[in-house]
Amino acid sequence: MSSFEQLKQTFFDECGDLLQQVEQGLTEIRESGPTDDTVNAVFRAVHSIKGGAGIFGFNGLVGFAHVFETVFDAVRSHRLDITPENTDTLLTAGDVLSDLVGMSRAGETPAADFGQECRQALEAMMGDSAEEMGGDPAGDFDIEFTPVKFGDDDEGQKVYEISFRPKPELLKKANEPLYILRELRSLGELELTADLSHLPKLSQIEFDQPYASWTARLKTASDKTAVEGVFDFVVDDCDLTINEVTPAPGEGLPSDNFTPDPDAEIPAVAAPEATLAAAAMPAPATEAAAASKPAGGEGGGKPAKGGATTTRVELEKIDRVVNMVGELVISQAMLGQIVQELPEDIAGRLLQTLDEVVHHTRELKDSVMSMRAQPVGAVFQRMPRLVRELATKTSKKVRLEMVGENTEVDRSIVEQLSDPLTHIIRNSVDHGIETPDVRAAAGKNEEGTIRLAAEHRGGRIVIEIRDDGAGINPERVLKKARERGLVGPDATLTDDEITNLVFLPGFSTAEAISDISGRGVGMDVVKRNIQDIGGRISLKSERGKGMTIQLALPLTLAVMDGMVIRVGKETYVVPMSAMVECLRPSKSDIHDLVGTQGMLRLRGELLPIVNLGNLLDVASTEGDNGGVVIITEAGEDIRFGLRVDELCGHQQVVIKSIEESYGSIPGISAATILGNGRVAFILDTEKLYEMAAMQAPAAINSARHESTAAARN
Amino acid sequence: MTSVSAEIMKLPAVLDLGAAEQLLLDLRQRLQGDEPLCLDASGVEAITSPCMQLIVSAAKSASSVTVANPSAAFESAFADLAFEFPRAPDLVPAQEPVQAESEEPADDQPAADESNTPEPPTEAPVMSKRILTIDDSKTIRDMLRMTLVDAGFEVLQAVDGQEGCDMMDNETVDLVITDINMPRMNGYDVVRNLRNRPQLKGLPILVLTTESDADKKNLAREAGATGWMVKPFDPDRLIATVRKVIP
Repeated sequence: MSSFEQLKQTFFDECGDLLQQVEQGLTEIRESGPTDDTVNAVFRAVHSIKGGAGIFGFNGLVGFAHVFETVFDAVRSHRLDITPENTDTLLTAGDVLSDLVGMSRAGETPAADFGQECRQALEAMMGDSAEEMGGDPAGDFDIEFTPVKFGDDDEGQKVYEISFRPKPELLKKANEPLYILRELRSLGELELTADLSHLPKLSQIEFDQPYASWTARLKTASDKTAVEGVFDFVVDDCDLTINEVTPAPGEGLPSDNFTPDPDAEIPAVAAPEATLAAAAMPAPATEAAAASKPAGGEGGGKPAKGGATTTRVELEKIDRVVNMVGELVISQAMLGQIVQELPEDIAGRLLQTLDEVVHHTRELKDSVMSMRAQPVGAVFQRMPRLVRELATKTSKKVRLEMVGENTEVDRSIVEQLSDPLTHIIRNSVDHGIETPDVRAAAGKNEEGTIRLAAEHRGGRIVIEIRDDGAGINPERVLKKARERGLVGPDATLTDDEITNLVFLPGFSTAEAISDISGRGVGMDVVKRNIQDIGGRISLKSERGKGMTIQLALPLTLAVMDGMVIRVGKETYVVPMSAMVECLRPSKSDIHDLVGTQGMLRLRGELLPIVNLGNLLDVASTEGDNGGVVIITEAGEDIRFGLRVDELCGHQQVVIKSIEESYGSIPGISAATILGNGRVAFILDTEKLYEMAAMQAPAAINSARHESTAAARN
Repeated sequence: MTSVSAEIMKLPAVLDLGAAEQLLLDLRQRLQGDEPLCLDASGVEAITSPCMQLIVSAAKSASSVTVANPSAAFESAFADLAFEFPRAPDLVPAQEPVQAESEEPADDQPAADESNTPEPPTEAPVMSKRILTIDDSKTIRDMLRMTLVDAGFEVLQAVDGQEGCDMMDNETVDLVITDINMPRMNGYDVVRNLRNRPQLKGLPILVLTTESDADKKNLAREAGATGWMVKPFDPDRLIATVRKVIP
């Protein structure tokens, strides 16, 4: 990659952060009104985007950012107030800006009128002062002039008489007459005369005051702008006159007088920008899919609040470290195995050191993981726009609340979250939230609320999407399910069970397939996506009051804490995050129930027991009643006892995906390599529970109902 | 043979604004006596107008002040400003030491020993100029660094005004380039902060502005900035602007 390309990459990465800041700032402004800090932050972000875009010549982007920035500058200096009405325009402007960045990234040239409407709206906000924004005066273009010398020929040569008297400020600002006069000399032939008549005696002189003044006669091919350009920095800090005295061929001609006027000074270096933006740009803009990308994917680092120093590292490099840590964990487990086989006197000291190594490896793993971690905000930030657009399309009023955007999770998970979240939120706006009149009739606030929250809970990240819409209509769901043959005509189901039918493949309740949701992707896909990354999804709905969907996800996909267990000759790993407790129950606590493998009474609660051996068809060595029972969670509020032969120990395991090579295996989420070099499967407890339930559906279900009943008693 | 009745004062290598105060003190002190003074300018590598004025003024105040062995840098600076200096006949680096009763037992004496040594190595051989860039945008920072390093400058970076000012506590640079809009101390405050430090009196500071900001330019100027650079910039213009203040 050339350094310029690299710089471009840096720019787009940075844009990701900046757009996030813009979005965040605008949302804050909408929620709680503008504060100086927020307005400044947005201004700075837009300004930086514009600055960078200028370097790479993304003129459309520069032009739009300029208008946007100008508006914010006006807000900043209190020349313009933010009202609820124009907040929407600003939000749209944020979206347009993001689209333009997306197009630039994708290498597309935006259509000349892209975002025109929004641009006009912004200009309208500025009202009379709008002309200022158009960028500017033709003067900008004069600067391109490069002095050229025409040999000895005097043709085109001009003559200037210049008088230059520095004021004290000139030296105070570290400008230096010597450099200025040298630059002037470089333009052509200079006859210079110094006037030192004001130079005091040594006893009275002050070392940092200028006393000299100069008059000069310059013969040059450069035009006046170039000559004035030499004095750019000092025009206010000196007395300066520049007169053109170029004699017309043959005779002398009087000059026009020039007295520099600070307001009319000409910028030395200026890039034409806004004006160009309006120029015709051919290539029609395809609504870039890329537009959705930059906001999150790459540049989702924390907004640099408080000036935290950060450095960008290529993801690949971190991944390499993650892999190495994985290998290290395996080697270390192997080492542990060997040490244990050594005679005790030798093993003792080694074990101590090994313990330390284990400890350090764990810290190393945690640190590397935290490097890969990304706030979920990266995905959340795309949602306000989605909600805004959907609400407009469906003529509903929807407010999106976001909580816990800074909750961090491995970036691979963040990436996988986008589709499911988008789908769920689409559903909520489209099907959940009612139209304002319906809501009003139901006595609800006309504006619906969707709350998107993230938090860490017990080694997982839990993301909750809650809306205050209509909720799921159980009768309709059941009817649909029966129509499609998803449940038998006679089956009796609890409301919760009915609600969960929406996760079945091929289920969609939308009566009218709208262009928002109902694209053939149902909740079943969402569920599968979430399960694919080791997560769980659960749904609760209350008719007329709304719906809550909860996603519980692992924090990382690379290494996890696991319990190594044995059944017969096979070794498996149960994720620690799924384990609640382990016990060796006494016989009297296990109750036989027809059709089940036994029910365990635990502190007054009855839990079904699943024999892992039976389920996976492995001969157990402990018999039906021996071994250890692991109380396991298989989803929200679902617990069961997993009976295994032996617990072999807790260790960190490296997750190796088997899906790519073998496809998905029911009950197995992945594999790992143990200390003895053997491969062990990592169990998917939720799936195991489902499998057990399939084997004896009636029994388990009734058992569960009974257990709930028992628990209530 | 030169009459060695003149007192010889060796001028330092760098005579910029920062060196002017000391030069003035030295000249005043030397001229207290009636002894003619000969300034040895052989080692001058850089000189700017404040010090040049002092030398001219000294010569005007006491006709016995002369300059000997001017270096090329010294001569061209005077020529470029159309200043004149009283030239003394070349010092034949006299074997006989400078007056024995000269107050300071000059430690640079040995330097005068060899006739053809151009300049004693008063300073390390031509150091590349150091520039501190302050900008919160990585794109701009990288762009600046790329361009400046290509042009042979050494570049230090700070991510905001506060960090930039903090760095200036410990670093010496030849030029500061600062952005205006930054979190934690904006560019104007950076300029004010640096200008308030006496040792940075002669430090050129350029601010980065966008072309639309005529009033920002003025604000920066009022704060004491040396000049400005317009964003976005192209590399050649950037270097041209930088050379304007640190040639």
